[in-house]
Amino acid sequence: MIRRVLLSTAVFSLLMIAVAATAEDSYQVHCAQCHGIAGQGNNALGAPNLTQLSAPYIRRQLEGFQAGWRESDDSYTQTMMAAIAALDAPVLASATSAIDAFPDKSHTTAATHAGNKKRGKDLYNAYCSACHGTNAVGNDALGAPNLLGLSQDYLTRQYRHFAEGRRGGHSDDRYGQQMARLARALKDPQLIDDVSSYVATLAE
Amino acid sequence: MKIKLSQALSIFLLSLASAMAQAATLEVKEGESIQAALTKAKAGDTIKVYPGTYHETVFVDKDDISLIGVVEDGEWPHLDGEKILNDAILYSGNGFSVEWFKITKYKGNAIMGQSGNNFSIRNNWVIDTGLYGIFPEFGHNGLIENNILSEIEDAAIYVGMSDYVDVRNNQVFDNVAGIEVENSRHVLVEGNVARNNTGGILVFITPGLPIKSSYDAVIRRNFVTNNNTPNFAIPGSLVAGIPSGTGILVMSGDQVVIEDNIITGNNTGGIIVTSGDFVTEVASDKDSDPHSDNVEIRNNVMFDNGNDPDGEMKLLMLSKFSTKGPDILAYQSAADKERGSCISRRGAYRSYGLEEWADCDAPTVRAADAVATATDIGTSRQLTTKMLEAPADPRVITADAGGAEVVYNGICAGCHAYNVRLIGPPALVIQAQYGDDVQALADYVANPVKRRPDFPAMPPQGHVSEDMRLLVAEYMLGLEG
Repeated sequence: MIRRVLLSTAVFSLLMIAVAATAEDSYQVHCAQCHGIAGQGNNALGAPNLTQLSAPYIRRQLEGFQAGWRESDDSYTQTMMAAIAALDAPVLASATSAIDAFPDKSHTTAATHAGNKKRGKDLYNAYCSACHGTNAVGNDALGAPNLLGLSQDYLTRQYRHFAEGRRGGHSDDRYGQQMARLARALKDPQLIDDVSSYVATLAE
Repeated sequence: MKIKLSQALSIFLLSLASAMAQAATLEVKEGESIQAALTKAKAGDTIKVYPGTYHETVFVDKDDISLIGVVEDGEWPHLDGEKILNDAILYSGNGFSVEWFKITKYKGNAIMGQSGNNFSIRNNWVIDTGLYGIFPEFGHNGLIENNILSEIEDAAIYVGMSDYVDVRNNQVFDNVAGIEVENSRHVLVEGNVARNNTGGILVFITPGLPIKSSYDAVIRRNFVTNNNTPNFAIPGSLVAGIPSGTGILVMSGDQVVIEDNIITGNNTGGIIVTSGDFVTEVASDKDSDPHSDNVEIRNNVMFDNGNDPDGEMKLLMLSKFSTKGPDILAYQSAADKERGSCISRRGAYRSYGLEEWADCDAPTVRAADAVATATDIGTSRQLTTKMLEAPADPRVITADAGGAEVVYNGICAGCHAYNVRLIGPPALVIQAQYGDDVQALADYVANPVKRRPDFPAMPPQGHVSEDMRLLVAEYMLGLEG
């Protein structure tokens, strides 16, 4: 009896390793080229750090890239859409679980946009904290992603896309629509730099 | 004698009418419900509540109700929220009077006025009732007197968007803000003890609220001492920006007279007069003037302030080559000559930024001047009240957009400003979240679900009818600042 339990435990463990290996493979084959072998992102390629994004957020965005509603009329997004266009659901699911397993890396690279951090803090608390959280860790209940570890370049680009109606315009993208409405209320590029420089300090 | 039926009927109706006009007194004893008595009560009735513990939220939407606690042998009627309930007493009725209650352990408010006029809130003992203690919101003409409040996370006494209010003879301690006069006009704050709070007495404009100004406040004969409690407000909220060690703070308030107070032992500074960007740099309310104009500081006794300025104030003072904070600081635009502010006996204080302020009188007061009939000697001494001589017209809530505005101002604006984080998310964020889905918002506020871990839970507003909730939701989603 005990042997049988031991045996099945061993088989189960092996299975788990196999699943993990597949997940890791899916990620390394299809994503790592741009997002890095540990999911840390590559600012030069416009690929965001994925490590601290939640699985529900990643699943939703992958769906959007495949369905087309993440199209933002920019080359980085188009690259991403092309890269995953042919992938089936199990591959995407295992890549997602690989990302989930990466250790979080919340520090960003050097500041690329100068901003007034004090004003950024006030703006962040007023406009952003209600959904993304006082410490910018995101809130899945509201569909708001974690912002820590995202580069200033990526943050400002996406924000601009929302403000300009290039992201968050599709009715299937409920949370994107909410963000787009918010972004239209605060458009001044200097203020956006203030906010992103403050968010960078939250990751320290 | 034979009476015709019609005569009998009219006599009956007359006596019925007079019985109705006669105010009744209802009694509530321990084990009974105060709300049940209110449901039975008619406008004008008095409800006496006897000693005992009551776990409930009391809604008063009828006019001229008096809710009177009966204290016997030191035993108080005690409203205990057990940190489960949000509010102890909410009133929207006009002419409401509440006295002699001990109120503890609520999450939101001890006593909140939601647009009721002609209120009177006296002799209550309030401990740890969450965000606010006594909070008349959007009310005209009222008295807040002889209350004791402690351990409140935001403001112990919060005069919000209200006019013609006296705040007299209260004691507030161990709160973040002791007494806060915010977006309010014609307010007298007199004879209070504000000690050991983060900030003692504050007069300011919160940008993004429906009432855009704060002026004509007299802060007189208060004891503002040792307000050095570390700020324990919710991080990210506006009030979290108040430096610990603040005696009196005037931010964007106009025509503020600060006279005859005793202000000592406040480690950041005794009196700070500043513009809106002191607490937040995003005061982007085009309809609000962020400057503090016409502030008069007269004859305050001040010493021992500024011993250990908090955070950014320390850096500011270092830039002025001082390790100590000031008795009086006029900061940013408040220092400018064109603001029209004045100071008496300027040489008596360690002050910064008053170089361009005018001098104002603080005449020596002789015994004869102190009697009520004394002639006007150019001080606020003749002033007895900021309340109205005759009661304000009762606030009427109509079932239309106008009524929705009153309800929004009286209830929602207590926690939601347009583009500034107070207690709840700014209206602008709610607009982004709901778009034009009025029904979804109206449904949500009746049965809120907590989804924001670092914000307090929204209290259910199911006591507002569905029709009115729809109107208010529509109003909120259409707000423009």
